[in-house]
Parts: sequence; structure tokens; C-alpha cells
Amino acid sequence: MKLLNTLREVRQKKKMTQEELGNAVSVSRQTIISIETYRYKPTLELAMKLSMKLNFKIDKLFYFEKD
Amino acid sequence: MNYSKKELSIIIEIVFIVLFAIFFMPYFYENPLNSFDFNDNAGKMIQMVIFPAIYFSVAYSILELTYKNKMIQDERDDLINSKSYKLGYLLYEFSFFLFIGIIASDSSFQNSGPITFIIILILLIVSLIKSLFHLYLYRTS
Repeated sequence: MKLLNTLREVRQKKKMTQEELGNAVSVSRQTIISIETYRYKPTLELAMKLSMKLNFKIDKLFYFEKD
Repeated sequence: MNYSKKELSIIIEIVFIVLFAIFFMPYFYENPLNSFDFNDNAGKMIQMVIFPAIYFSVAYSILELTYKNKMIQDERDDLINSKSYKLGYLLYEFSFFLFIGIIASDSSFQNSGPITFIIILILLIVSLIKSLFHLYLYRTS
């Protein structure tokens, strides 16, 4: 099962740049880019921080691809 | 192509290593140690230790001041660092074994028993510390 996310869509809806979101959760812009492009899977802690900062449910932000 | 500050700092680190290889390695090659007698080679050994130490201290200080203080260190960096250190550790271990093999097979080094012993001892201690730390991490994480 592949872990997918809606981070880019949600971030753009909230009109935040990758840099702003990264600063808000204390990670680099490159880390946000890597998550959005599925090159890096965040830890639960970071996933929860992103969910809280974007005010978006974590299971909608990160979800498994349906078979 | 755009590079992040971290990627640039790694590229600069690679440049430092290449410059070191270009400028210092020919000097070390032309001035090899003729024996393992410390008294004969003290000057050369000090040069070989002090030159790289000064060079890398200055190089990394410049790098640290220029980039690393302004960069955010996050969990992705930790993962990437851990993977690259793992590869580095394996390569060091492999090179050490290769070095011991060369020493053991070369007739000119046949009398260098203590050196071989010291290298093996260092390897053993390093492996032991690594395993103990590994166990500690499993017990405490």
C-alpha cells in the first residue's frame, strides 16, 4: 500500500508557500517539497504538526492508496 | 538547476576534499614513510597529521560560518545523515580490512606486527562500541 497525501492541494488552498509551511512546522522547504513529491514519508510527529498547522484532518492529509 | 543551501554545502565539502586530494596527496606520495620507526619519521608523521587537521578544521569552519548556522536541521536531514554515515562506516571498515590484508601480505611490512595488532584492536573496539550503542538504542527507543 502506497502512502499518499494531499499536502500540496491543501497548502495551496490555504495560500501558503512551501517556505512558510516549513517554517511553521520547523522543517526546511526541501522537506516539504520531498513530502509533496512522495520522496519522503514524514514521521507521525511531523504529519500531526502539518495537520494542525493546516487545520486539516490527518487521515485526509495522509492516506493509503486503495487497491 | 537550483540547489538548496544544504546541497551547496555538501558540494563545497566535496570541493574541499578534491582540493585536498590535488594539493596534499602528491606531497604525501612523494614523501612516504620509509619505516615504522617513529624517530625516523616523526617529522613526516606530524606533517601528515597536522596538515590535514589544519586544512579540514579551516575548511569546515568556513563552511559552518557560511551555511550551516542558517539552516534548519530536521528529521529528513537526520535520516539522510544516518544513511550516509552508515555507508561511510561500511567503507571505512572495508578499507581497514583491505589495509590489514596489504600489510599482512607485503614482505616489507612483515615486521610490523604491533601495527597490525593495533589496527585489529581498534577495529574490535569500534565494533564493540557500535554493537553496545546499537543495543542501547534498541533498549531505550
